[in-house]
Amino acid sequence: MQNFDLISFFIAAAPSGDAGPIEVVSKGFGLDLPLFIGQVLNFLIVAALLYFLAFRPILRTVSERQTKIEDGLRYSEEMKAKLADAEKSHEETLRKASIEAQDILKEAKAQAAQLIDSKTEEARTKAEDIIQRGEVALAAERKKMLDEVRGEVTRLVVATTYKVLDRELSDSEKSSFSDRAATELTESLR
Amino acid sequence: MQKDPRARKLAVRLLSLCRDDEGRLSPEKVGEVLATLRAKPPRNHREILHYLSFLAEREIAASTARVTSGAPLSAESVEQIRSQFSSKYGRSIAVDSHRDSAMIAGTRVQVGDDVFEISIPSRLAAIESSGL
Repeated sequence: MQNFDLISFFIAAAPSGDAGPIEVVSKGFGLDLPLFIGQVLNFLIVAALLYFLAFRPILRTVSERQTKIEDGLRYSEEMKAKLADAEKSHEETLRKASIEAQDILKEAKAQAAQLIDSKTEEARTKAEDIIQRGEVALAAERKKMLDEVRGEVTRLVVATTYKVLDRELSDSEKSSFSDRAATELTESLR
Repeated sequence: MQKDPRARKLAVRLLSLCRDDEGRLSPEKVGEVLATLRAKPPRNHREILHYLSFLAEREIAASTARVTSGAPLSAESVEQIRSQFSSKYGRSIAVDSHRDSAMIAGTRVQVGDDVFEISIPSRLAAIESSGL
């Protein structure tokens, strides 16, 4: 239907004699030029009003929103970067702290082992010293006891010998021994 | 005893007067010296006599061998002691014998401060001190 109207329009619009094409078109379309110009002016006015009163504020608002969003995104990115840096720093700090803690622990273990060794050696030395002193004291005590026993036995033997000799030696034997002693004495003077 | 050099010197001189020709103390000479002192006592005669007694005792002890034995010694042993000790000390030594039954057997000779002893108690004491 519309194709029929267009065909009939172009047939009707075909030059028929002395009338120009614009005039023909305007007559064909029923165009009223002043009205058309007035409508164009109205349109332009309405478009200008819409542009300044509606589009520009809206665009400005949109632009502001977009700026805010971009700022927010940028801030978010910065925060993410800072967070990443903070996490990285935190991890580095933790790693250093862990290494330091391990070093301290290792050093403390070494010191503890050294202290244990030194204390063990000291205790061993003291124990050996105590044992040695005990052995010395025991030996001295044993020697003292043996000396006392030996002295007592000697005293008893000497006393018994003295009594036995006094009882068993005859007068002649005593005289003989005395003379022999006198001889030995005088010979020792030579 | 107070020290008086003059009294000591006089006592030494009196002691020399108490010796006989052989240089030994003579009881007679001692009696004469004492009689003289008694007749004319010097001012410090007590001190002189004290010194003289001390010197005489020391000389007698030095010229006498005090022999102690557990049993009586034979005459040969006594003579041997006298001759050998006289030879050792270079002067005539008299022998003064005693018996000590506590010695059991053996002989001890003391001349002055010197003591020589071979006896059962001395041998036993040596054994006891050495601890067997």
